[in-house]
Amino acid sequence: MQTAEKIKPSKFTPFWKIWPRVSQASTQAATLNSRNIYIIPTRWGLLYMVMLFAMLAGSINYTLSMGFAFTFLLASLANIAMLHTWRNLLHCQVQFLKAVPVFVGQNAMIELTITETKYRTRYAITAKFKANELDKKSKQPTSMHLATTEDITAATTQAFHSALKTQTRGLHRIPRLTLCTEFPLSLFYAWSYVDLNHDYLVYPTPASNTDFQPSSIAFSSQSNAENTTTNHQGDEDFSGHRPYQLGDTPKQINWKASSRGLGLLTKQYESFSPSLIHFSWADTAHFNLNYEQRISLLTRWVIDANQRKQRYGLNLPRGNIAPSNGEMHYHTCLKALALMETA
Amino acid sequence: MSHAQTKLSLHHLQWLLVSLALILLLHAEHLPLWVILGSVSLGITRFFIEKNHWRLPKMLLLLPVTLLAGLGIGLTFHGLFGRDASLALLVIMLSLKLMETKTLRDYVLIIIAGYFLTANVFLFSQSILISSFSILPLVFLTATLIQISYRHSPLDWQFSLKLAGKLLLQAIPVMLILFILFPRIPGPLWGIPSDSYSGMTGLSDSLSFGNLNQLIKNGSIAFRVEFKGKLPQQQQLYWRGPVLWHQEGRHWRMRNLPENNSLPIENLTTTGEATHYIITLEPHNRTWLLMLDMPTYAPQDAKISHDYQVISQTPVRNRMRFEGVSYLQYQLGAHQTLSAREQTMALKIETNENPRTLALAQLWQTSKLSAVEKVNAALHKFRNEPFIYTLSPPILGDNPVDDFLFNTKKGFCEHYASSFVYLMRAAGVPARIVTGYQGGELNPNGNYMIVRQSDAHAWAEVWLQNQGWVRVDPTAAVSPDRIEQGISNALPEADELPFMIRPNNTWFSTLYLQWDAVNNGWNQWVLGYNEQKQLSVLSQLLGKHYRTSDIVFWLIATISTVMLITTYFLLRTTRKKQDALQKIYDLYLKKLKKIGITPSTTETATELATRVSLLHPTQQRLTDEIAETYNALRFGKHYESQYWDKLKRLIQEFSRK
Repeated sequence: MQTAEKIKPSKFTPFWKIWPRVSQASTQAATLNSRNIYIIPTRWGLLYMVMLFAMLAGSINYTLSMGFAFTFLLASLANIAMLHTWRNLLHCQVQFLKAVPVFVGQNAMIELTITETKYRTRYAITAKFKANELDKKSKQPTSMHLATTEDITAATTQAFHSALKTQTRGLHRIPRLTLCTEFPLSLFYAWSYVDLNHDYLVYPTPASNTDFQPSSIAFSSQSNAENTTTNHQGDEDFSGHRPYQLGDTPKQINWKASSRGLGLLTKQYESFSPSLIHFSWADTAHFNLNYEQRISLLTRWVIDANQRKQRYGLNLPRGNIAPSNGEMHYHTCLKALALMETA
Repeated sequence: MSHAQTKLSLHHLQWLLVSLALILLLHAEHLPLWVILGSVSLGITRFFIEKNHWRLPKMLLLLPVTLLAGLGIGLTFHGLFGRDASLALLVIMLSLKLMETKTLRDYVLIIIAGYFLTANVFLFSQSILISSFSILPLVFLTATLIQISYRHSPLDWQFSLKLAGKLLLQAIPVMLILFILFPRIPGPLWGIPSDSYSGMTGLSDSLSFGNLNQLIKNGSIAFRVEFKGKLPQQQQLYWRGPVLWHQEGRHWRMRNLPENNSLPIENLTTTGEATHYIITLEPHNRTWLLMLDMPTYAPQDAKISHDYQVISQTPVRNRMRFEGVSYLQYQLGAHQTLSAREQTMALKIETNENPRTLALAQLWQTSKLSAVEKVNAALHKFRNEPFIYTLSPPILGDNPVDDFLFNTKKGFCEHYASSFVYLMRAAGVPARIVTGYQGGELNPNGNYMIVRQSDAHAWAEVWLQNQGWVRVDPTAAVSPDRIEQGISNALPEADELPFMIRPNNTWFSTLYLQWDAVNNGWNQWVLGYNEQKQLSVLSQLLGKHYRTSDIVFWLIATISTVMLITTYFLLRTTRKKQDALQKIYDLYLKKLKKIGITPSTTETATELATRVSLLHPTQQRLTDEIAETYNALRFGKHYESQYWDKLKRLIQEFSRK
């Protein structure tokens, strides 16, 4: 994945984002060493502490030697639990694997691996992305749903798939990853920040309104153009299935097959004539749409053309993409659309 | 962070219920039956609700049940705030809390309350047995906490128990440091429920016919004594307790009237060597400390009264250890005359009863017998008439002293002492009753002496011109064995006595004495570790003149050191374990070489197994299983569980074939 242009640090960055020591993972794995791991008691830890004080007070009041011993044992237990929680995260090696591009609104899956090299299994390690401005406004506990928790068996590498909510198209820096654990006693919360130093690509939202059609279709394949607007089960010949891809509309999915446990399959239809189309930025100007809506419309056209296995080209203000077809070409086009300058 | 609203599964509920059941078992002895049955049925109900996915009961139902349970506790214990009542209340409330427990938050709350409830048992007993048993719920509660900290899939039960045990073992060093160094603040901080000290036995401040024999039948320990130097003889071991002056019918009482305090201390002259000893007194909820006749030294916060009782400022509610210095040869008040007030007190009897006794005394008076002659006459009567020492005397009539001296003639120390003193006072000889203990059993295992409640005794002191207060033990006149050999040899009918102190019980008593030595150590070093003991330990460790800041420094220093060492061991890679795995696996490879299969270095365990099973199809199941287990241990999740034993067993099985 290519790196986006460095965002100028012109904006004010709050100190709590600068102060924490963050492990850096770019081409190499980031190792969580003792300087990177933070630990605080959880609310249960605080409650436990209150209980310890109550027990201590009782022991003093009744001069109970065994009460003292018991209180001290439990206090020491919390102390040991703290060391275990900290150790559970220590020396894990985090490496970025890939980020599969998604359309706006879908969750970007950031794939990463955590490697255990110290011959001891790590239990209940959670990877999550905290940063999500929009969710703070709507006050939804998104980080909870987006977190993944796994064990990392001794001397092995475990894959983590951490979801990230997307809001705008373009190339974004993967936000700071939080790795955390409360194992074994939930009395302490240990965490560490990792900058994966990679970007993830978000394609524009495909326009849902398919009333607008490219003018170039008119002279290349009018009949097809009508078909794309109507139901896919219409005149087209069903040609088979392919695995679900991001961007496929629910209509295209074979729900019967997925209910039988075959996974998500997308129905494919044979095109009548895989003729050549040029989608042009200029074409979208006819439809009284704003800047982003025009991009969305182009995205919709590209998706539909790809589904029909047509050859298509893309003419954008910053340059043209020569007509072609196939997955590579499809993603090149979507990426070009994703990286369109903002209005 | 914590996701308080996460709902937990049946698996977690089972762990919680087992832990709570263990806590209930720990407290079973101190709970009314209905609380136990109620808690158990609530637990079972909660289990089935979870199992069958029923709905939890509504607040509308729970609230009245909760109030009803509270009312029940109030009625059972006549209040809610005693030690026993608050325990029962806590138990039943926690069981009711189960009925609305579904989220992580509820679970953690119950576990933390469970820890607290477990510690509550020490209000009732801190014995070795109870303390050991309390570890069981502790381990299970911790394992439950581990289980609910690992929410994404069920965790192996053995693994969580082992981890809980491991965590607790690792917690012991810091616990010991805190136990020794953490400043002990003397309690109490607030009022103590009045029932906290019920069930403590010991002497009382009064004596009436038939209350001491209940104590004598009690085999529990009154105190233990370590003598420095030579042991006194058995018949010298008179442990002085309450001195009773005041007679009311068949009752004798201490005089705790204000004028008593102003009496001048009796003059003590001692001869011979002092006897030094250390007493560890079991709590009896009274103020007197037991000392050998005659004490010359009172421990801190205690004083010697005018009649040489050692009285502590506060009731003895915890096991107490103090030093004693006594002189076995002494004269008490020999060079004084009895003050008028003492004279009145020591002669006062109720003269409207016991006519025969009064007549006998009158006879002695008119015969102009001296005081010594009167004492001897009385002892002569006990010795030569058929008086019998027994713990089951017949019931005495309206004139108890008459009845005892002239009719029944059966009784034990309190009968002899009180009728003797009555007779002496009637005959004009100042006399008083002294209660306490007589004798003791030497424990060769710990070189200390055990004095039991069954050694409780009562004797008399008479005031003689020029000799002062002289001890007279009328029981000795009747049953010399009681004084010389102890109570177990004085009674013909042994089954009246507690099992522990019956004679001819040698193997058992040897075993018992060993166990008592262990208990004594526990009492001295664990339970008896109070602020005084801490002071002496600290002054040995830190030198005489340490400051509070020194304790803080040493606390931090030692705990940090222990934490560093623990961290080192926690972070040490367990490569050794991997090597151990290879060692076991090598046995298998060796065996394969013997039957002509040479494993290559690039081959995986699974590939090797396939190759072996091709050549030996009958062994396919075994070889597959070996490869699977090996992989599970080397790469799998079950890195440290029962898979080790399984691999060893499989390879052994393979070798045999």
